[in-house]
Amino acid sequence: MSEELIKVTINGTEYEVEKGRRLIEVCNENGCNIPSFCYYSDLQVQASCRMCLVRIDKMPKLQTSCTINCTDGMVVTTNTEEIAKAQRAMSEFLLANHPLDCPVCDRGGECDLQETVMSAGNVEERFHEPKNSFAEKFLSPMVANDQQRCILCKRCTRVCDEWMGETVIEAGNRGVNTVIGTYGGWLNCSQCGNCVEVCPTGTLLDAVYRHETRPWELERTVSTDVYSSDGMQLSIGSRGGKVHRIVARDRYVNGLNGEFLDVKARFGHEFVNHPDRIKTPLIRYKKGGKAIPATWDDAISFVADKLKDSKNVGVVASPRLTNESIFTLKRLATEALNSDNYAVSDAYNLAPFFDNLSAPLCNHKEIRYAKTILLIGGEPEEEQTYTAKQMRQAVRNGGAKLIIVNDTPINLIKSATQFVHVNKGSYEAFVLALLDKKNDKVSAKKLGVDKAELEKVRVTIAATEGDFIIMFGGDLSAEAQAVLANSAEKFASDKCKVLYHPLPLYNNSVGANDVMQGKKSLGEVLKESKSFIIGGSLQDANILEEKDFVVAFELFETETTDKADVILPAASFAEVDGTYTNNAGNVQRVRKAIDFVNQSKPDWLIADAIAKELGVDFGYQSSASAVFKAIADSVPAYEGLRYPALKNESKPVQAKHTIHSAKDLSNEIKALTERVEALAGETNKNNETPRIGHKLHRLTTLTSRTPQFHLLANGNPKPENLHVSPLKQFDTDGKAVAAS
Amino acid sequence: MSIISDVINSTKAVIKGMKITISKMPQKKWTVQYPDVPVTVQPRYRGQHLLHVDENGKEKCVACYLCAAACPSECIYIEATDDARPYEERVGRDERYAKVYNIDYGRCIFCGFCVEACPKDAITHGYNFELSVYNRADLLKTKDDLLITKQKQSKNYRVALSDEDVDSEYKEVDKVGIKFRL
Amino acid sequence: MEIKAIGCEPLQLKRMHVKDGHTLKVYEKTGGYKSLKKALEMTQDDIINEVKASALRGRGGAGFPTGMKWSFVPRQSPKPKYVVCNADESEPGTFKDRYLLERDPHALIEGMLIAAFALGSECCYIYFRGEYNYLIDIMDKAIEEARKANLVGKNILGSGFNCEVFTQTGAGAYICGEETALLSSLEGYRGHPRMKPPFPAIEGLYACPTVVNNVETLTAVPQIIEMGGENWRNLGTEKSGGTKLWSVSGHVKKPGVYELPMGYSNLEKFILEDCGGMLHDDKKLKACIPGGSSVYIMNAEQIIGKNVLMDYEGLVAAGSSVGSGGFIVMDETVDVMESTKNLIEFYKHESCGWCTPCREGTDWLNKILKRISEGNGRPEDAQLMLDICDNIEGKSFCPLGDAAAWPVQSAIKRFPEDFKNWLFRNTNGN
Repeated sequence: MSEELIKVTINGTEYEVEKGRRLIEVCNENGCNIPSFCYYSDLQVQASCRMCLVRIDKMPKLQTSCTINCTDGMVVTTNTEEIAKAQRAMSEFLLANHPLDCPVCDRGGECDLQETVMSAGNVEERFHEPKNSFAEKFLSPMVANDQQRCILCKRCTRVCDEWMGETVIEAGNRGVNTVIGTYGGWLNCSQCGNCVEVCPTGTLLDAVYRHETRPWELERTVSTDVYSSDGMQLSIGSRGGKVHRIVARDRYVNGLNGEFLDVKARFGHEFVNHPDRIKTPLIRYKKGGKAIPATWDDAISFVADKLKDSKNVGVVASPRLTNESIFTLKRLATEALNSDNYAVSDAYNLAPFFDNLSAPLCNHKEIRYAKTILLIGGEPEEEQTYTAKQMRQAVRNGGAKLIIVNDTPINLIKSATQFVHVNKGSYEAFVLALLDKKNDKVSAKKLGVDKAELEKVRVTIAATEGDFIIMFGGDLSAEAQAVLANSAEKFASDKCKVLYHPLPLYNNSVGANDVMQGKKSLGEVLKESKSFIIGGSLQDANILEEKDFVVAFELFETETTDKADVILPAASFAEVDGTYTNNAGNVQRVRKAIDFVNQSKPDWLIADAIAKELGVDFGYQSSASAVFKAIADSVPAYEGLRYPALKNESKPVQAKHTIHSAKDLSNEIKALTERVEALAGETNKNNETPRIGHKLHRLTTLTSRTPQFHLLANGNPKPENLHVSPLKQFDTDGKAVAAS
Repeated sequence: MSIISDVINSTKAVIKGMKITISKMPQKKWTVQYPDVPVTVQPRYRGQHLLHVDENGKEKCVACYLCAAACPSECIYIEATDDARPYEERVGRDERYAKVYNIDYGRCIFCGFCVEACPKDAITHGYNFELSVYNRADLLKTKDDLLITKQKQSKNYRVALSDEDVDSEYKEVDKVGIKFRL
Repeated sequence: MEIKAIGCEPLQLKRMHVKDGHTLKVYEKTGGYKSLKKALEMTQDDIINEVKASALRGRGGAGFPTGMKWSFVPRQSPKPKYVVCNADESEPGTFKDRYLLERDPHALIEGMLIAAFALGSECCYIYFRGEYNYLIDIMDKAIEEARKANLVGKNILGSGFNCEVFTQTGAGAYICGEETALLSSLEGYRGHPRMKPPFPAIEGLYACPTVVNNVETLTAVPQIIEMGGENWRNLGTEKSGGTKLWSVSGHVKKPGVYELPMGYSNLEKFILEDCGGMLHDDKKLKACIPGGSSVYIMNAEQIIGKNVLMDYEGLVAAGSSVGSGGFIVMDETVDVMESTKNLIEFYKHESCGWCTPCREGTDWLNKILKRISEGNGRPEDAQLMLDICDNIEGKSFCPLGDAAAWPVQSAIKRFPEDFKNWLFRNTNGN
């Protein structure tokens, strides 16, 4: 978009706007509200609802303002009787076959159609003919569909195509019989639910939240996604201490992720109020015995007693916890327990990357407008869905070059300009080749690709004019990460800016790395200590069996809690205040939406209580903002940050990670070269494209609490009767049950 | 001032008072011997709410929350839910129905806005007016208390016929000059 | 079935009655491909100027000057250019192209080749209406013949000009007669119209410069090259040159395809004399749709004794338009309410569903007219329908919305008696 300013007259007032902006946006910004259903700023223009008609001087007929770009000297009228009549006419047409069943429609109260029609006023119904009607049905366990409410704005089909690259929702039939539908009548996709999000009427509905309450009854709390490391902003709708739904559109700001969410962020929230939550502190007085409910005071003093004299207590924090909790756990270890055995239970250690970082992290907007993107390993469309969406749009709308290096033909290669199909476990060879041309021969052999392909990658990178983004998934060794992170100078030029984008697996992997300074590796800590405090659960809890004393903070019973001596009920993300740091380095707020469920407490408050019992006061005074202040005081990247500074969601705050200049990494390179040379080098590639959603739909401790995920994990079977919820037709293993 | 004038004045006053009393004696009596005799209420009297059912006994309420939204004293609490069973088996007339429907009569001001807001004619005011309880918690009436099929109707009222002139009582009072009508 | 020219030499209809006129041999014998040879020796600008001089206007319905359309194509653009022939003739009452395609396919090929040469295109498509499937064989054979004679393909007639001609059928959607919807359909998408601008001349098929012309427009091109633009224009009037085909149907004695010079005088004579008069001698002319179903319907007063000239300007002045030349004559036996209902049913069925006014408006009109025809008309319906038409007109995405609104508007305004009968039937109790 050019910076040139031009003059546009709207309703007699002259405005200065940037050249080439959409008229509808300019009008809406300047208070001449123009209704529209099909226009959506992040999607291709459709111009089919005809609501946004305006009169432009020197143009015949009324023009749709969503298709017009502002030109100099344009004179626009939006407030005449002619336009009011046209808008009334369009609402009347849209309502002609639209059922007036707002009382039972889940969208009632936040429906664009309802709002537009009611705000126009003077709606006299003249349509007295029979309406075309269809029965309500399910398109998937997550999405319900009421065809007759559809106004055919086709936002859903465009979102499906442009954002998700899936094209599973399409229009069928013709004319007034046009319906939005799927191929085969059943949605087999990643179930992101963005079609539900953008639907302006109650045509596509959230089947998890179906008929639960009404939007105006919900308290809205803006918070951060608890699953993916993209840190998508969302709005928690809660009522009376229960989380009813999670949407993105309630925020009314175009923040980090706009209205984009994925299946887990949107539908995986049933765990918050699940009856299986651990209700009270539990103490297992005898190893292998039964865990017996206790009061908080008893449990804390029991823990303190046990830990008082033990040396070298291990503290493990989950990368799902808030920065506040991880930081307090670290302080618990260093200050109260005098132990330096603390770690993050993340399989993927980001420390070597951040220690050698030689260019800034990129934010998600920069991905959208990047010119070249290099993705090494990882599977963003399954793990970092918003990054994947931005990559797709960068290629589709921005003409970016996307190079994917992977051992599996992942679904994202549909958008790729070059796909380098490499052997399993040989990403390091690629890093080595990227580093120096002379390694090509060895690398090409170990990677199992042609040398020309590596050359082509190099040429593409060299030809970049604009942002060049290096992304990498979780399979790189510490040396490879260090070398890659330190190599920005090799690619940077006057025209090309290098940016990094790590793709860790958990919502706060980056934050955990930032605030738990001086941490050891998980294996080391697990081996060395005899007593443990574990925030969250471990992937593999078997090692805990032989330990003396284990305290676990958890939401649900897991393998870790089965082996723990004291189990303390932790609060979920919807019940706490805090911050997460996403993969772009944005520090984002998590806000308390509901009261603590049962007797749970935030992890940092539990750690604080234990420390107090041990005689150390961190001086938090039960305030999360005090914890964050302590973080800001001790972590350089977070220096000067306070909660008020994180308030504005549309201006995400990036942590100031240190940018290192090029280092001498010959040791790392040597180790890397040795390892690459030791690779077998035989062809060992995955040739099968994985099913869409194979990671998103996986059952975990948290997602498995939403019953719909069981159906998705079991292949999303199509039920016989589409009008009844699939949950009633299948058991949790995806087998059909006889209709009762 | 003398004792005689006092006597005369007080006798006058007694006579004046007794005149009214005696003149009313032959007239119709308005006092209702409640609870031995039922009270007459007007057809549009706003008593305790009733939740209605359709001709097959299915609840009409679709839990649209409009009554709760209209309520100025915020005394209505609803929890909606989904009932996918076929019409014959389910509770409500529609797939969507109210799992919980509570009215807090400690707060209700009987304004009738909920009745006006209801798009399905599911809630109306009934005639039950004896709402006093010994325990404040009992003022919270649940769906079981409100459903027309379950609410026990008091024997202590009778609804005036539509052509019955219940207002004449007040008109009579007006004549005497005591105005306490709103 | 009458196929003849009136008031001029048959040009378009030259080979209609010639035996085997569809073969290359006969075509060449009757003067075919002479124009192509001539055109290959001319410059591109000369050809376009000839076409401009001829005042040839698009015969598909909109009547946009063809030369002008061609001159919009950026010939210097590095993108490939396309010439697309719109043989999706689905306007009710129009069947002229069908005869051209069936009996004179080489004229179309020649016209397309000249157009392609003039625009620097190397690829032509002929998009057939789904129901014209059987014509594809004829056309494919003709293209094959031409290819053998080095008239299609590489290095045509040794001039160094390469051009391929392909045929493609639609799936039977009226909307695909609209040029952008045709292009969508040709690309393999749903037949939805696209946004204009960009116009097809700038961004059409596969986002490349494209010219979409009607069959009759393209078959006229060889004649223009042969006769010279000026001469061809002089057959007709100043603003609309040449001759025009009219597909006549309805209550006349001799329905068929007629070739008339533009500005033929006059409409009344044409119906009552040239077409053999009314079908039943005792029935009088009641209504006439001169340009296919999408134009204003005319009543007898607008025709009889009014000296209506048959060209673009004349018919507009008389309260209708040329459209695609689908001439439907109706006599007294016709109830215009029912004929309008019939038409609206067509438009409701053919509306593509893209934009609100057309999709919902045609359905609404259809429901009202259906109710009226069932005897449940209400007096306020006429006003309601006019208002609906007003709300569709000029607000729809493509011209189909207007095309659906105009016949209803004109029918109600020009035949109020017919509607009154139906609308007041209930209240009068009969």
